[in-house]
This record gives sequence, C-alpha cells and structure tokens, in this order.
Amino acid sequence: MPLTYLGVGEKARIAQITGDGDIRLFLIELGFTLGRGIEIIQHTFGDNMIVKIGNSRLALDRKMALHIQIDMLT
Amino acid sequence: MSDKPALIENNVIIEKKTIKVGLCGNPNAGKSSIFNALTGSHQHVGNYSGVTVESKEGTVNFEGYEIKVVDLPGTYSLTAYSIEEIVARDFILREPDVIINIIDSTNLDRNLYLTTQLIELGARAVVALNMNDEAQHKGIKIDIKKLGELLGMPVIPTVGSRGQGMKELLHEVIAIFEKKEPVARHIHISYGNEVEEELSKVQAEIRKDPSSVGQLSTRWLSVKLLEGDNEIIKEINATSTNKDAILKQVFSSQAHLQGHFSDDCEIIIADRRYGFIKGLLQEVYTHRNTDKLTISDKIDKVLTNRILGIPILLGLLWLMFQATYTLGAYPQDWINNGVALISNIFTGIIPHGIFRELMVDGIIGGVGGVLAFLPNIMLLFLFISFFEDTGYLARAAFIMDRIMHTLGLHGKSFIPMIMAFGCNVPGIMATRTLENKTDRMITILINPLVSCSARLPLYVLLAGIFFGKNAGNVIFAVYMTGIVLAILIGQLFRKTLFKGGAAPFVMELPPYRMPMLKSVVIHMWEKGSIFLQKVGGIILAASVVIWFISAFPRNVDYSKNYANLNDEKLSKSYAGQIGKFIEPVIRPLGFDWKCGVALITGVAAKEIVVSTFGVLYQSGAKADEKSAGLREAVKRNMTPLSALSFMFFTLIYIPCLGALGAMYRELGSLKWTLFAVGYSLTLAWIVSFIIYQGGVQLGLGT
Repeated sequence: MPLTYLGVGEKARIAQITGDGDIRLFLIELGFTLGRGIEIIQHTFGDNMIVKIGNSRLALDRKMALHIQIDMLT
Repeated sequence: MSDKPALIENNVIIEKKTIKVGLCGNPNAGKSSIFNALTGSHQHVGNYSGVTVESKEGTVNFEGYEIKVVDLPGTYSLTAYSIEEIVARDFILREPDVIINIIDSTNLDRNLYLTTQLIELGARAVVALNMNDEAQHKGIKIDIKKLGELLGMPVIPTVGSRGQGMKELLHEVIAIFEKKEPVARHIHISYGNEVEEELSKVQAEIRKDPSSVGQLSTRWLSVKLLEGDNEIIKEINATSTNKDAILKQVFSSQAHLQGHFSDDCEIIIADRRYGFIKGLLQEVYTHRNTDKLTISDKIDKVLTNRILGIPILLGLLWLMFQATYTLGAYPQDWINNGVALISNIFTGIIPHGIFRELMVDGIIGGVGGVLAFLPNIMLLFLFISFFEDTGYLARAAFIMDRIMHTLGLHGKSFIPMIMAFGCNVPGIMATRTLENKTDRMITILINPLVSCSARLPLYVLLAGIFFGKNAGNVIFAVYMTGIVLAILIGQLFRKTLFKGGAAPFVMELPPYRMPMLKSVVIHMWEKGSIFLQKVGGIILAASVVIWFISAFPRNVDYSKNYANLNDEKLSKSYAGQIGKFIEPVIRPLGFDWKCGVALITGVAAKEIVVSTFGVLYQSGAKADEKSAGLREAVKRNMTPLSALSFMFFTLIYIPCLGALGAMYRELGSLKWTLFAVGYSLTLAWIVSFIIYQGGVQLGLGT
C-alpha cells in the first residue's frame, strides 16, 4: 500500500518505488531504498508529510508519497 | 604550518606547489562549515539546500603547499538531474587534483551514495567524516580505518563547526597529491554479472576510439551511457568517431537489461550502488537504536503543524516587517541628523556656485537620502539570515507547498521568494534547487515581483510621511501584495505559457540549529555590505548624473515670476524635459514628471528612486527648507493616494539592472528577459491605474 496510508508514529518498510525513471531515481538517491524502515513524523497542511528514514528527515507531498509503496510493520 | 611564499635555493626561486581541491558532498553535510574552517574565509554557512549557488574559492597555505579549495554545490548524486549536479560533476571531471568528499556521519548510507560515484569516476579523494560529534552522541560507531580500506579512500573524522580534523584533512590531501597515501587505491564496484557483461561490451566500443573522450575512465563512461545520461550521450555524439557503434551498443544493452530485470538501467545500477553500501556498512557500522523523537521533531510538531503552520509563518513575516520599520526608525533619525549636519557644514565652507550644488544637492542629497535606510535594510537581512541559519526556511517552503501547488507553482519556489525580500539576485540564483525546468523558469520570471530591500527605502519614506502609525502595516501590505502578485502571475504563466502541473515535492529537512549570534551577524553584514558598496558606487554615480541633468542646461530664458524660479529651473532642465516627455503616460497613475524621472533612474538600482527624489526635491531649495528635509518636500508634492500608487508601481515595474543580469544568466535567454521587462511594466501600470483612479472615484484623491 502507498505511504499515504501510514499514520503518525507508525513504522513500515519501503516495498517498491513507482513512477517514471527520473522520479524513482531521485527518490532512491534521497535514500528511499527498498527494504528501508520508514516512519511518519508529522502530517502537515494539505496532506503533506515529514518522514524519517535512518537519521534524515524528508518532507514530501501527497503526490510524491503515492510513488512509495510500503509494507506495514507491526 | 608554514607560510613561506616561495623557497629560495641557490638563488633560484622554486615556486610553491599548488594543489587544487574540490569540496563535494550532500546538501546539509556541513560542506560550507568545512570550507570556512579550512580557508578561514567568512563564506556564509546556510542551512538549507542550495545556499552555495556559485562555487566559492579560498586558499590555504599548508606545509609548503598552496592549497586552493573550491566549494561545490551540494548534491546527492552526480547524475545530470539538476543544474547543481551538472556544475559539480563538470568541475570534478575537469579541474581538481584532489577531492574532499564531505559526509554526514549521522547519515552514512545516503551520503555514501555520492562516494560510490566518485569511486566510479576514479577520483582521487579523501573522505571527511563530518559531524562526528553528533554521530557519537547518537550512539553511532564507525570503524574508520576499515571504512577507508573498503572505499579505497583515506577517511578523517571531522567536526567542521569547531574546526576539528582540518590539519589531518590537509595532510591527507598532500599525501594523495604526492601519491604517498597507502590507503588510496582504485576499487571496483560490481554491478552483478548481467550488468557487467553489457558494460564491457559498451566499454569495448568506446575503446575503439581512444581519441574520443580524453582521459575519462571508459568504465565510468559506459556506466553513464547505460544510465542514459544525456550530457554524456551529447559528449559522445559531439566528439567520438565511433559514436554510431557506441550508441547502438548502448541501446541494445539497455534493451537487454530492461528485458532481463524488467526495470530501467539507471534504477538497476542505483540499486547495485546501494547494495555495495549496504555490504560495506555491515562491516564498519554499528548503531544503538534510539527511536525517540529529536528536539527538532518536536519543534516541527508545532512549526509545521497542519493548522498552525501557515499562521505561524505569516506571523513571523509580519513581525519581521514591523521590526524592520519600528526598530529601524531610531538609527535612521541619527543618520538623517548626521547627513543634515554635514550638508550644513559644506554649505558653510564651500562658496556659492556649481561645485557647492554638486556636493550638497547632488552627492550629499542623493547618497545621504539612501544611506538613511541602512538600518532598515540591515534589520531585514538579520531576520532573513536567522530564518535561513536555523533551518526554518526549508520548512517555510514545505508549509507553503500545498498552496503553491494549487496555484501551479512548486513549494521550492517559495525559498527564492523569501530570499528576494533581501535581494532578487540571490533569489533568482536560489531557483537552481528546482529540478523541473518549467517550474524554474516561472519562478525566475516572477521573482522580481517580490520586493527586495532596495525598494524598502521608498516604502519607508512614503509610508512614514503619509501613513503615520500604520506605516509598518502598509509596508507589510506592499510586500504581501508582491507575493500575491507573484503567485497569481505565476499561475497565469502556468496556464498560458508553460502548460502542465508542477513537479511533486520532496526535500530533505535539516535539523533545526540555534545559529551562533556571531555567524548570523556576519551573514547579515555580508549581505548588507553589498548595499553599502552600491551606495559608494552606482548610487553615488547616479546621484551625480541626476544632479547634472537636473541642473543643466543653465542658459534658458525664465519667465519673470521669481516666486517659482526653482521649480521652473528644474522643469526646463534635461531631467525636466525627460520627465515631461513621459508625463502623459504616468499622469493617470497620479505621478508628476519628477516621479517619472525617479522611475527611469531607478532602473539602474531601485534605491536610486529615493536618491532622485533627494536631488530633485532639494536642489535649489533654500537652506532653511533643506533642514525641513526631503519629507516636507515630498509631502507637498504627493497625496497619500498618489504615494500609494507610486509605491506599488515601484514594487512591480522593471527589475533593476542587477536582477535583469541574473535573470539573463539563469534563463539563458534574452527573449525571456525582455519579456520580464515588458510584462512587469504593463502590470505596474495597470495596478497603479486601478489604485489611483479607483481611489479618485472613491473620493480619496486629496
């Protein structure tokens, strides 16, 4: 399921990055790599979000979040 | 550390060896702080992506070597994805002897991605494991020696902000340069059998034409070609005699790999690089997991809050403009009094004549009129520097993203707009962080609509004269109108000239940092001193020119009415003639010919609008009138309504020469630069027309 389904404080693993080559490559270069843990820090105005990957914080909008497929961790 | 300029041996001067070093690393890895620690120069350390818009250079003398350090733009990768990546890559390919790759220790895996590309390039590099203190604080342990061996690059732990590790870093630079560093060796990142097979096929084709690509590594070229890198394909097309065979092989290899992995080549290769990093980290990296929210996260809970985020942003901006006006008023009075004093002294000591007019009316009137606004401008820069250095500016972009997107712009367009409050030139340069070309073009074209500090003197002057207690609010309103217009015009351009939606938003947020007062003040001073340079340069020169055109020609016939002699003199001067010529066009906006002259001269630099007033309204005035000052003169010549109309016209019309130059460089097109001149002039006229004529209809004309 896409990252947009993840709630604040919930954790997941990145399962797949979709979209055209440029967007995927850019996301991968920013650290959105398969299998990595991802956590939502904060939902902001207009369904944008701040996520935590490793020690970095990344801000992304809903459209970008839809490119990131996750597996929930319980 | 030795500082000798050259060695003298047997009366022969041996030139000191020069080493050229490039600093590269991810945004926010602390590149600028290392650059400062190495070179001791006061280059500004920003806290959001894209502060280093142009490569900065500094020099350090160390152990008999002259080491030239170039700070490259921060990038995540060396693909040709953004302009900054292309700038950094071109430099790394062609220029330096040694690279210092700066890595954020708290973010090893992502930062090492760039390092893998340096390895592919065969760059001679030393790794600065920066923010080593923060990593230790977070419970991260790194086996530095082993990391160096696995990368084939020496690794030095550093803390750039405190200057730790700089000597060791320079030692390594020299060792690598002299090829005396045992760790430095070229290692091979394997992309797996399938990819390797195709790589060697491409490599074989490239090797058939040894002349084609100079000294670039054929393996690196093959990787780039498989990745479909446009710049390299262009290069091959332009220079290789075997280009057809090379490109044919590239396409067939890409097709083969795509079929095999059902994914694009560049993604497969990126995955392999991360695979290499993962394997490496398993051997050198341990991390005590701390899942707690950081202080930075807690601050974000408030500042980027879904509901509070935007009101807080607007509140902070409002505070900034209020403080700029209110706090700036006191030192402004002191400067005004000082200028009046100097003016009186010169009037006293220089005999009546042309020279006194030039000094008192031209230079002191023109330059002094602008200088009074130094405190306001410094305060504005202080606030912008503070927002930038704390990391809030990156959040501002993100908070605004949704609104900007609805209007067809990108959240990252917001940073150049905030920077433009200070000056449009860095604002326009800051658009380089936008990845998408049309997003970037729109952001550049609308940037001058955001009011810079050079326009502030006029607002402070007019709002102070006509709007009393509400001056701060009026200034805030003018600035906000600039932003709103920029957004609306951006939307218009998006719907007409650049169709399609803005690119989706993703951006790294640096942790909040409490900037040191010293660094914010230095940063403010660096930006503010540009204003002082302008005062001493173009504004001084313009004041003389304006004085000249307003004082000459002198041999004209005057009517006999002596009460209005000064006004008549002025209106028959060159300035008067020019002003009168354009007056019919600006009359409907509530402007007289003096305003017209000020607007024309203001294109050189917007501060000159005020210095033109300073010269035009004061020249030939009697000494007692002069002490009453510019304010009285303006008050007699304008109404609150025409002043408001004039403020908005100044806000919108033609960008200054400096901004036009920056636009031309960044747009790379004369046509679009001229377009910016045309649309801004038209828009300014329309807005001022509506304000003035609307006001007159409502009976506010007096």
